[in-house]
Amino acid sequence: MIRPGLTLVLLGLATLTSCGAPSPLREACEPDSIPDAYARAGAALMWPGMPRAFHVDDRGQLSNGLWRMRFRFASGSERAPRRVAYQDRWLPIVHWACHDGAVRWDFEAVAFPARSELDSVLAVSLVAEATNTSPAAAVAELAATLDTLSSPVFVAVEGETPESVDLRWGSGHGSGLAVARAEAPGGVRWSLRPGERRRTRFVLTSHRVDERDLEDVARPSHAQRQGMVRDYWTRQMDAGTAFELNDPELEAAMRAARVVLLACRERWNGGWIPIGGPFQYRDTWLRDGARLVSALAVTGYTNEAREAALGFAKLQWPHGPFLTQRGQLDGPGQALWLFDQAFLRPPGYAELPAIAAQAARCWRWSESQRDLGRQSGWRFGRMLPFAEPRDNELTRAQLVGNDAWMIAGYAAAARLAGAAGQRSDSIAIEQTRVAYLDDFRAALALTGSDDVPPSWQGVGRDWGNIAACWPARVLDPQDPRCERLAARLWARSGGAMLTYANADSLQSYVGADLGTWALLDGRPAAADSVLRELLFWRNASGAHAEYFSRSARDFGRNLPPHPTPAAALLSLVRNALVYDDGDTLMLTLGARADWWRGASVKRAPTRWGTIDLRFERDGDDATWEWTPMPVWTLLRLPPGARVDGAPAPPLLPGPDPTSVLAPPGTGRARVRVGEGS
Amino acid sequence: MSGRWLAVAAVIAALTALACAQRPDHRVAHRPAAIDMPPAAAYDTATALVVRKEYRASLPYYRYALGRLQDDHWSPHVAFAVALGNATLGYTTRCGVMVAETRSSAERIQLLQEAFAHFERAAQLAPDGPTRARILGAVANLFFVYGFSWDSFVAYRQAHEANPKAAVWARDGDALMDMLHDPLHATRAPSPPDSVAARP
Repeated sequence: MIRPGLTLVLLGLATLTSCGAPSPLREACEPDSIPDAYARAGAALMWPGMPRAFHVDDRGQLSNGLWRMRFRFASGSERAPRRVAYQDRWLPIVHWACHDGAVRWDFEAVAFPARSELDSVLAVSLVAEATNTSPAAAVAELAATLDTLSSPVFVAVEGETPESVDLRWGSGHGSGLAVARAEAPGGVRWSLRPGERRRTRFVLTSHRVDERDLEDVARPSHAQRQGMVRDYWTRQMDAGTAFELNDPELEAAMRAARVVLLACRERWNGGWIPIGGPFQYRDTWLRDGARLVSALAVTGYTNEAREAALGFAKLQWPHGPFLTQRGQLDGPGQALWLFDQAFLRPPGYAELPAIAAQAARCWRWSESQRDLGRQSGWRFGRMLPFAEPRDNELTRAQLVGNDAWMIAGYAAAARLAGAAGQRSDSIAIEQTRVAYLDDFRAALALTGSDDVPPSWQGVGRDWGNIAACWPARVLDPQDPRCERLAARLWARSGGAMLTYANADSLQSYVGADLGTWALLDGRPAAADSVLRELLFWRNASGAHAEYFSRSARDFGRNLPPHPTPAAALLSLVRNALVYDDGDTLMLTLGARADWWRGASVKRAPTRWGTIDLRFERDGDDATWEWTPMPVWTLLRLPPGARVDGAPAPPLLPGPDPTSVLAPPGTGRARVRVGEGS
Repeated sequence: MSGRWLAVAAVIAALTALACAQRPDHRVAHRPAAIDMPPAAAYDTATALVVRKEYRASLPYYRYALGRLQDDHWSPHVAFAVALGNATLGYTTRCGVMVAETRSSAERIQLLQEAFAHFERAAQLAPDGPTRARILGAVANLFFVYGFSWDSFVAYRQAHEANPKAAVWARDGDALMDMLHDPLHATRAPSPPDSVAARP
């Protein structure tokens, strides 16, 4: 229910005309040409660190979870855009278009910090451009309204909740608090000649601010604000690993994913902490944040990953574990895993001893749990106790995923301790990891399941158990249980994206881990199926919904973007090119055929240092050039290719005919390939 | 979910929701003007807020009082710790939508870290077994609510050892042991805690 707020319908003179005006907005971006897999349009106006964001919804309204700005046209009604798109489907310059009779209205909006990046107020600069598309004169009229919200799709989680009377427009020369300013106060009414276009500008802020602050926000032109936003995000993209893959759609998707991850962080307690999304999930979950940290770490955002990891480091419970949400006992293992991901890639983090000590405390807590369970003598006593995560598992049981993550946490803690010079801790943790793994396998055998069940009791939805194959790597990639689990889940969904509640409900990230598992099991085609689904199910800003109806293509109130599928996409592509989670560097595990026309990866952090990689197929020759590392490197051949004859020294045959091995220190390889079955 | 556990959870949730849903939005109003009153009065204010289940609003008053009370007594530490724990479970409404009263899990964990520090201090100051048992019972309940069931079980057993005459800790520990043993079919659950907000 909308409560009426301030409505401004003033008739103003145009402040800009076609003569000498900037290029049409639609030249920069034709939003309706950008693909959107979902039936409901929408995009986020967001900025890293800001505690609020604006959502541009499928009616072209802007909402921050407490109030909204909406537009009315000459016909007196709202006009819904077909698409709300980021420019090039990744750059957060938001475009949408509405048609009001003969008049086409193009909107462009950008978000940026209103006063300072250290402040909490987000500002939006928005221009609305009318074009008369008919051969006759036409009237273009636009009015903007500010309303408070009741039972909105999402609610801002901080700050005051203003009444509608508080939603003031700035006058341009007044004082007091306001939330928006219009270039043509209240609206415009233009008589446009055929082909003529005019534009007007609005500025709004996420919080009520002093009118003088609004003036400061509005002082630089929209073009200047747009340029600043473009420069900022371009710099952010350039700061990470560069992927040049001859695959424009994928490269744009990776930029869009990075935008989501970088924006889904808030400042907290003097540092940074990941959040579950800019709208309805504006809170912190270890199960999502761990993925965000890892994806940032593997795509070259080392500082950002470490800052976010340090945010989680502050969330240790006094008795040792990490946990952000009630009953989510995958948290302790995920926390240790994310520390490993962030602080050991690349090596050399100076404050590692403190992190390793925290990890060791968490490990000791886990061992105390296991010891109590061992004393119980119960069937699954050596596994973590029951949990009720109040999330996707929908059961109260001993969850297999909790143990898988905890074992991954032991591996991480051992690595962290070793890297920090805490040798005895490292050895002790590793010994207990081996014992835990044995217990895990024994428990699996007791379940009677031939794959990996959701819980030791067998009940629940498949969720954390998938992580046993990757990234927890509790089971070898070649373990038949992983293959059977993947087969069961893919058969149930009928595709590589898994179902959630029912056959029509798709979940965007729960099955993405099976993509990297498939890479490690030598199934690049299966991995590519996962990637294709992740690429397809995105909106016009390149963002994923968490879950949605397959038939209606509708995500309901669960608005994109969600950071975890963004992290999944980045991790999968990165792992398809550079994989370093074992003792061997693996390159081009899942490189698509198109990429082999000549692709490069620059500034990719690995456990052994930062590397560049270039690879190409030229006829029957596959070549790689990469920064030499002090470990063996496995090189996988192009899709469908096999080694033709014995590889030339120093290369050695790989574990199968689709790969070769290069000794430590090698940085260049050429392999004669043939087509194989 | 077993019947009793469901009932306990529902009662806690309903009480919390009811208490919070009828209040205005406190998420920006928790920073009262500088508190300027005798420590005992601040403590009474905090206690009155707790009685109204306004746990989050009580926290500044507890902090103020605890920093100024002349005697370091166990009970204010426990009262504050319990209020901190309950504050992490509170809900309120914004724009007609029920939301957590705390800003985020990061804030919740920070409050819980503070809560456990005060439980620990209270345990150090406990004059006798029954007092220590009461403190451990509150710790056990907080562990249980957050899903640390083994830690909760241990705390219940320690509470029972501290005060073997009180049957409640043994009963709650046994109930939790049933759940640990058979989480799908266990029908018993630990009891919700009593209020421990006594005046010093």
